[in-house]
Amino acid sequence: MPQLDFSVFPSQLFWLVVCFFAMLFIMSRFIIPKTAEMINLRKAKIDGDLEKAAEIKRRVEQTLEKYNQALQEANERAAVTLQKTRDELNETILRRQTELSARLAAEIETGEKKIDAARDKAMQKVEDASADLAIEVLQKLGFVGINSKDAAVTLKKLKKD
Amino acid sequence: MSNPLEQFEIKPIIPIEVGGVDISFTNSSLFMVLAVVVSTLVLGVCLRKRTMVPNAAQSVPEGLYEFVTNLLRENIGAEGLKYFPFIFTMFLFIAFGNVLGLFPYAFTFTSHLTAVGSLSIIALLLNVVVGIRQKKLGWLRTFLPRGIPWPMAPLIIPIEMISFLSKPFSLTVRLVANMTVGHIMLKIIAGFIVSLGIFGIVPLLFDGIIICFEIFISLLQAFIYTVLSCIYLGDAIHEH
Repeated sequence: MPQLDFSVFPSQLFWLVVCFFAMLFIMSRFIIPKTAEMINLRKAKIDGDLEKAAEIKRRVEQTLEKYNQALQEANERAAVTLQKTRDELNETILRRQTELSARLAAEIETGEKKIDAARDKAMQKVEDASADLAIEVLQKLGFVGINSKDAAVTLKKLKKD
Repeated sequence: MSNPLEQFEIKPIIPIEVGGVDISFTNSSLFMVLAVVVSTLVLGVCLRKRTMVPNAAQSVPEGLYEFVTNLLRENIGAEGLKYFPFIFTMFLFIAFGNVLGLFPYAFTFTSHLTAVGSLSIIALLLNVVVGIRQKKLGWLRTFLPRGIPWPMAPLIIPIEMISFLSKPFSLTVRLVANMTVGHIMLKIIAGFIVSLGIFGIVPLLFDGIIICFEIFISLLQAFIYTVLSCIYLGDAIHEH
């Protein structure tokens, strides 16, 4: 079996050592550094990008936090302003309602007074007309000498009774 | 039918003798040189146009790089990365040696005890050097682990020595046996292709399937050899 021929051992050992160490030299000097260089560059780039991404994320979070804070503050300010406006409006409405009520009451009173005056005036006219009618009736009946003044006094007395 | 073992015969191409020692350049040496040249060319071409986003060709050396790095990290730890060039070269040398041997009329130097044994001896010597550098005289503890009672030493030390020296032997035999058997099988089945005439299509198909399987075995054996070398190197670096 050729595998068991140990006479070739020196030649095999010599050429194996030469070839293996030559390959080790070539790999160490050329192939491995070239491969490692690109892998390390890529790794550095990926790490750098990841770092940059983390930084951007951190900044975005900060901005978001600021935005939320500003939003909360604005909401709080808006709520205060809203409440203030609501209070002012309520106050104005109440004031105007009071004014309107007062004005209406005054107008009602004036109106009632006018109605009373008109009623009194009308009643007076009715009374005068009644007196004139009574005088005319009495004159027709033959009671002469009764003037309108007496008739009015009599009517007043009757009215009181 | 030709002898299936004929393919393993080492034939000198350039006879060289130094100090009475025959170090002829043989067909085995030629395929060792080819493994170096082809692996360098393949990786060199793949790395010619390097881009940040790797293309298909660039992914080959980068994938191998990551693969060996992970192998070292998992079996030795971060300190194992110092030996990256050695392990990377070893994996490629064996893988290319195995795969190149599958080509018709090629020679598989990884099917030879003397060639693979030489590589295993280099790996063993590296383990010894690394172990002594790392642990100084404490490296001798490899042969007498802590906690073993002294009276047991005469029994344990020879066992541990045999165990230590059997590591390169087991590495070598595993690889050589796998490569030899695969090639013998291919050769025997290939012998039937011509002799069976028209029915030779059956062994031809069978040979095709076995070649696919052998490519897988070649890479798997290179992987196993490298993983075991990493584990043995890890043993040399860490406490027993």
